[in-house]
Amino acid sequence: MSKSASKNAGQELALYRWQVFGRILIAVLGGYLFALAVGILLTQILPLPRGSLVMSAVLASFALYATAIIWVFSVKSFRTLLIGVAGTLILLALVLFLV
Amino acid sequence: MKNGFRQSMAWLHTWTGLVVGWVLFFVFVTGNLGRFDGEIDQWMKPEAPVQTASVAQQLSAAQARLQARAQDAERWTVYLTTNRDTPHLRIRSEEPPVNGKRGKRTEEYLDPATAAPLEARATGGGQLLYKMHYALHYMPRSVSDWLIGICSMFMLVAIVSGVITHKKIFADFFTFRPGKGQRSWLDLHAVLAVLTLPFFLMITYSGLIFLVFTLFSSILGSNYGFGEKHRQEFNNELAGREDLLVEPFGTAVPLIDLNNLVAVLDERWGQNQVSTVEVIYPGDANARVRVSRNMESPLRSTDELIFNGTTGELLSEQPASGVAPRNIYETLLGLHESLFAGWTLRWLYFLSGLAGAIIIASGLILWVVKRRPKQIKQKSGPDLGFRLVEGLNVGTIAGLHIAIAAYFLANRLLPLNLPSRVDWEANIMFSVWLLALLYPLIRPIARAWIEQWTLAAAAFLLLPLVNALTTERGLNQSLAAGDWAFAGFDLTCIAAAGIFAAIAIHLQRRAKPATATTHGVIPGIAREANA
Repeated sequence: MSKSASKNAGQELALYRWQVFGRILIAVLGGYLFALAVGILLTQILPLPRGSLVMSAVLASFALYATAIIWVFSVKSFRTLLIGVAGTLILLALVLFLV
Repeated sequence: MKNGFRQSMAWLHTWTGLVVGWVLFFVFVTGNLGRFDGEIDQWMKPEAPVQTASVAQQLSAAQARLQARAQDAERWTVYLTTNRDTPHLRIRSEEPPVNGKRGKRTEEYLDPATAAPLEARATGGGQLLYKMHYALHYMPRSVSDWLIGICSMFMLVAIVSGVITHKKIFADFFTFRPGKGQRSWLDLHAVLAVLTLPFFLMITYSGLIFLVFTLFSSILGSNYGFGEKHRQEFNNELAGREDLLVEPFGTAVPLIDLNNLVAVLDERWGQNQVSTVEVIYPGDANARVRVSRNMESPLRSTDELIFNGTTGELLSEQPASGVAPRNIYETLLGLHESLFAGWTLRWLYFLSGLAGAIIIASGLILWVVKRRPKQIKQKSGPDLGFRLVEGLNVGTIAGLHIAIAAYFLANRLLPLNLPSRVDWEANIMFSVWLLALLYPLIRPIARAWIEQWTLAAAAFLLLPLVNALTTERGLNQSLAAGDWAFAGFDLTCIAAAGIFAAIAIHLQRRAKPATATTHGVIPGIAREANA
């Protein structure tokens, strides 16, 4: 019994580690793409001259990136995280389509 | 991720901080020395006194030299000594971009009296040391920009998650419990971080903004197109410099004598207010001359005058302040560089940077101290990862200072005619650092700490001595002559040596009772917890 319990614990640990790895990937790459996409989007929708637009978007980019990373690590369950990522993707695609 | 929001953030803070902590420590220490890069430049060129030539004479010398050796360049920049951070007249030429990438840049120091290269030893100076904090060394900028960008991004996340983790931000203003091991390290880490949080956030975010056009190049690229050409187009458009948005005409027309412009500059701004003079397309019919004024506030952009380079006609006058997003950008960069700051503020910057380095170091040490009790109880000994962190901590937190002292010593002791002397200064610095990092492999960690701090103290104490022996500007002479760049450098070395020696003595005292009352090395290591 103790053997299967430790085996379970081992599996849980392995799963936990994979999830941490997954979160790092989502945070670093996903967060980057998110910040980039929102940055470019801002330059398309804000009513400012071209130079000011680019500069505003650029100034905000790291704040967007940091917010995304913090969010990825603050969500409790991995499933909620995946749903959130999917939701963001759909929303961004929708806005890009409309713009 | 963990059970609570705060726990998740504590986890994130620990790991983001650990992974890049050593690089960040290097960045903070070398960048912090850059607050006095001009003074370090002077110290590293002891045979070259501060220049006092007039603006007109400097411009003539610079123009003569540039015309002789950089006729095909696309732009020239002259850095005048009227700017506090330029002790010696400096020129730069930049070749036209190749395949959208910025062209090759060449820099040189000049003697304004002869228009010949400055007669001084070949040295990287304070400039090279300061450049390491963003360009690192031994790698192209395209690599270092990304490396530093990623590390800085980790730091931003570590700061934000650290603030969230931190519950009692006000109480911790006044909380320091020394001599209590882990508790003391946490207090030190927190109290410094709380005190310098605005500085820390500003320096991190603005540091990232320096790299933003590399890291988020697509934002600009999707609006203007990619490459250096479009980058400049964006800059000029944002600043409203329509007169610089010209292409080379293709016909050769000689450039005006730059010193003819001095009368106009004096009339507009008063004497000696110029910081740089830039010539775009020198020798072309469409040549432009852009003159920038000295900075007076954190806003890095300054008043500018743009002249026609073939007739000397004043084309336009740009105010320092422009559209809001540009002002924010320029202020962030200006705050980061602190070039506007006078003496008092510079030292405040320096102390804040020092606090930053201590925050990073104490965080790294805290990671070890927290895990040590469990690690040393393990039958198979501490894990490899734990020992790696311990070793990197010694070799970086103590060892980097030895390496920097070695960089300065190399400047005085390498033969003056050594080929690629500049490279050797840096090679020696990084070799010493490498040795310091490897050193914990052959010594118990507690001893390694004490020995490296002792060595760092000795090396910094040696600097004023070697300076006095090898130059005519030793501490006795510089103090008497009011030569503050030299006196300040030597005195700062002595102060640093004092601090490092105090740390070594403190650790030595701590280690002694432990080894006397208990057996074996391990308790000694445990005592060193408060390294």
